[in-house]
Amino acid sequence: MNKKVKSYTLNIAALVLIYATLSLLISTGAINSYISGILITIGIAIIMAVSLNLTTGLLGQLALGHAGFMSIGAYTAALITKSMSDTSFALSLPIGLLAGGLMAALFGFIIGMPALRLKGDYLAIITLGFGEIIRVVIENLSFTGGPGGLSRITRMSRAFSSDTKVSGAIQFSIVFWVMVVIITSIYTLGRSRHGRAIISIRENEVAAEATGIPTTYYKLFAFTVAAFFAGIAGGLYAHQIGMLSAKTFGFNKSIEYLVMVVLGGMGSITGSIISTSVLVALPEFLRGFSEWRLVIYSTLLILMMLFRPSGLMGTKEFSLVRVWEDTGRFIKKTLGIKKRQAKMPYTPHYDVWEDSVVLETRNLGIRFGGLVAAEGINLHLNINEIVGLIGPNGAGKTTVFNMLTGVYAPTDGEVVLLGKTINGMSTHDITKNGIARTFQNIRLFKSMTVLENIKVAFHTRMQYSPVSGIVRASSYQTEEMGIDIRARELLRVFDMEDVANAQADSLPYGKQRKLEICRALACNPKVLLLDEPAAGMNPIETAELMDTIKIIRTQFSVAILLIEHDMKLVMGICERIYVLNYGRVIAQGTPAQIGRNPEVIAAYLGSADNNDNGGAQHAEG
Amino acid sequence: MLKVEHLDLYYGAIHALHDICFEVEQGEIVTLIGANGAGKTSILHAISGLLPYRNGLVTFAGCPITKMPPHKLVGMGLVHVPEGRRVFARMSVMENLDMGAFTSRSKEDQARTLEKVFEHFPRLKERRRQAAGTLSGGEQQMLAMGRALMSKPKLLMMDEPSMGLSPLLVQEIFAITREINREGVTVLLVEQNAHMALSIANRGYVLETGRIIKEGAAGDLLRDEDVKKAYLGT
Amino acid sequence: MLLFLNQLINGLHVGAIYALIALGYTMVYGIVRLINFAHGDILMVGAYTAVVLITMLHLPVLLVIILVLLVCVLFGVLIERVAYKPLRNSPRISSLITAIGVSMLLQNIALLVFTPTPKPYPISLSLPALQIGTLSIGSITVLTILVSAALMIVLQLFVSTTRAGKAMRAVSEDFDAAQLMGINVNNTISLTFAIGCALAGIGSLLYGLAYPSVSPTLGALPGLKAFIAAVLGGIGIIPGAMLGGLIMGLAESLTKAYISSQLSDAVVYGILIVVLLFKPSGLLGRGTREKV
Repeated sequence: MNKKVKSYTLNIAALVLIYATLSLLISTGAINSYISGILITIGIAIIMAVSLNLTTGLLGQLALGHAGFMSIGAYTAALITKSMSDTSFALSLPIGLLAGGLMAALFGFIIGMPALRLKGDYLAIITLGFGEIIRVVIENLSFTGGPGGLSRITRMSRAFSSDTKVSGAIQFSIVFWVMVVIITSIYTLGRSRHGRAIISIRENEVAAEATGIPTTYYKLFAFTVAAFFAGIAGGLYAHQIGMLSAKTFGFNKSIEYLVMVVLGGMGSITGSIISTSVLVALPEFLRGFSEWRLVIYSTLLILMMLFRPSGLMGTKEFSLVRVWEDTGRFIKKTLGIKKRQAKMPYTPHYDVWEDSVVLETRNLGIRFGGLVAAEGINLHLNINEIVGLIGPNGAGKTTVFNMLTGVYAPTDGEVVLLGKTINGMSTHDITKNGIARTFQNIRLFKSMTVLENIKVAFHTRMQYSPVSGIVRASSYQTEEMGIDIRARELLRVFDMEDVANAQADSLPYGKQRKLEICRALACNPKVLLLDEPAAGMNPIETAELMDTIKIIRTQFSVAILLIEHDMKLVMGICERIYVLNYGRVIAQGTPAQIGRNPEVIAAYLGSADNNDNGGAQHAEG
Repeated sequence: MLKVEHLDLYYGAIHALHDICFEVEQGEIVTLIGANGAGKTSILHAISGLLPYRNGLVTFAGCPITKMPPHKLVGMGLVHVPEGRRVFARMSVMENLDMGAFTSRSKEDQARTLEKVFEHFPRLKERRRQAAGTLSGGEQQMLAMGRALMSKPKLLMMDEPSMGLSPLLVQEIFAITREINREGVTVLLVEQNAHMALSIANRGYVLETGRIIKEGAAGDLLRDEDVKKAYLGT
Repeated sequence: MLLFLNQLINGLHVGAIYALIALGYTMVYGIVRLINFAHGDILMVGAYTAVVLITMLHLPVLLVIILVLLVCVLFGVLIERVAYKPLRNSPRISSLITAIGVSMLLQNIALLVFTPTPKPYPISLSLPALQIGTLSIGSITVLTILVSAALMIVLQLFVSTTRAGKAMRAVSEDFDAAQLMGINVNNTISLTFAIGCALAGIGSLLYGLAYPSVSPTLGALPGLKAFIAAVLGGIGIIPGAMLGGLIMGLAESLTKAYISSQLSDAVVYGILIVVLLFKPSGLLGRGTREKV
């Protein structure tokens, strides 16, 4: 802790030192207006890159229209300060910047709503399209000055003082501190429960939704916040340059910022900062070679990507850590605000359900086009029961899981969870209501640590807001501390505490399966769905899995429904079994009954003598 | 027929395969068994050139094939049926089978092989116009095997053919594997289902954390106490 | 009415050029999943090749046409081998940035060598226009539409029936599995780039005939439009590229004629957005829902 405090102090000191030196040099004229102009441009570009990193790096969605949001912010801010010309610039500028940010956020929200339904290159192209539309529309509106653009916008380098050096220093202070606040906000946001939710979408959207993360909401949230910051950057830009032309904010500008992000390393804020500084400054240094400048620039770009394909910093951060938290603490201390006594560590809420039937399906069915994939499915699960769902490949087992979890909306019948019909609910709401699942092909948040994988699942039971996360308010502290304890406890139960800080995809196969089950349990389910948990496991690993499932039975009050082809596992631990074929339940009963059922043998189990690998003979025992 | 000598493979700094040596004789079924992550799949990938390895000599039918690119091996008769079937989902069953015969130039020959494949897998014939992606897991495994047979392999390397299949289909796939072997195709089989694999194999090798720790006749391995305990779960 | 028909024909003309470039885009994207931003610049390379060969070396036109195609193919294959192939296993966005880099590099080298001053395109076609009643359709328009349609059909047949075409489809679905079938993935990818760039070469000839002024950024805008056309029709799908190109061309020319020339880009992007929102994988695209 002591070490941490030291590093915060150092970071703040470094920041203040950089600021003091540069502003002193500007105000004395040692740095001329040309160089200070470059510094301002760098600062604005950093805001753009770091905010784009929120969508591209953390959320993992390729967006090609970021400059469009910048232009909205720029025009809004400029129009406001122009219309408030009789008010003091010191008042109208912050209003303009804020309004610019909000307007850009509004557009981000409106555009994001439809656009974020698309993924990957399609999202890229649709954001490109929106970006270009914004540009063309601005060019054709009269109040934005049409193709001629806006001019005579108050310039920060002139407005504050008749002495351009002093005014220049004030301009630098504004841009510098706005930049610092935005960077730290994005940094702390990224490390809050909201940031975890955003990153989990990047890692595996399907799993995030199944873990209770409202993915659509968070995609829109990240997109809107990024647009907000881009809008502020636009406002600063407008009052740096003093005139605006929509052409500046075209597709190429968006690409320029994207290059900065990728070159720095997607997901790394410090990487974005470094690459942005270099990329803005480099062309200025190359001015001497005027004609060759862009040839050199593009060659460097290609070489850089060829030799460091994941960017300068990868996803790593330079340890400019938690300046924000520290500033907060410092302010509180100086203002005499005492740190409130930490409340009881936050304990997530667990439901207690007494009735014995937790999940029931009534005549459940689904058709794809004319094709009946499942029909007339009546299942029920009691609390603390382990039930198997078996059947030939393509019989509709996973389809049933997908209906139970809201991935598919059933076309017939209903699913009743804890007495409540859940048809038509979204997956994350169903998870919140008590059904968690694992997947046939493991879906972990691969590049997150084991502990973080679990923490994502606690998301639905935490409450602190994004702002509390950004300023690291006390609700953030207590809740995060609370779930840290709970998550570690959960890992301890499954004997995984030693790998808590390992990256999820570095675990051996068996442990990855186990982690996925752990994560599902962390959602606090009443029903746990396991989709082929033993697939790809040898008998020993399968035996370990059976132990894990037994732990769940003794330590958690949850009903388990599992799809599995390993008959030893199914026959060994299930109390009841449903057999599915051609989308219908063809048999149900105890393992012994199922093992003897001739229809099941013919359709699924096969001849008993051939099945000496722990098939039917276990059923007999 | 296939000889692997002193194979060493690294993933970055991790030494994944240590000094792997084994042989497969003409007409045999040989199986590699071991836990997940023991390196079974890596061995197949190394042999077929999908994974670069640091040291080692691989000879196939008397020719050195060390570090040969994967596409050259098919013509020589060494065919790999990868884990997870990997059929071309958007192409039809028939087109998938055509891709299997990519290296063969003679149309008549292809037609004859196709007949044979359909004999083994009548279900593929029924579904030959269907897109491969719409097949069930078992049918996809059949297609993957049928596709491999289209190139008339001398040695078939199969990676986890039973994964995710119902007990009935597992039995079917293993029965067909045995049939294919009887028709003269040598088989190198990687399986999680050690019991099943050893019961159709002639010989087996046991892998543990990237090393071969045991080898022998399949019957002996089935009776071996350590193997029983570690891989058969009895 | 005549104006409308004329605009329609204009639109088809422009659309056919977009379609031709989009075909190359779509093929390359289909196989390596890369938005090859440099594709449009191949057009520019083709145009300058014609300028150099004719105005400086005075070679005969037929020979020049062949050489233009060769140079385009050479550039395309070389770019793939040098700039994209090493990144095949890297995050896809890295190759996207590299593609942007290549595009910038080509444009700036052209700027350095040929200066920003536009040069006249040295090939022209002087055939009589096609007369249908009072409607006259320029020979270049007829040629462009016919050539694009023919190439699309040939390409579609090539991909669905030939050995190499099937190899392309296999590679586009699964690199490793394709290799295990005995397909040489590197050669297949090179072939795809070669075909795509040959189409861009032909595109440069038709574009030059239509807009006979050659500048370093000549390829940028048609390249971007063609890419959008490819997405509009369903990227990776050959008839989709054609359809997308024609829609773009028609939308552009009709907006210019009846609404406003400034807004034509906005209309084009608007169409793209509306289509993607209702049909996320493009007009002819098949839905690919992630299997859970």
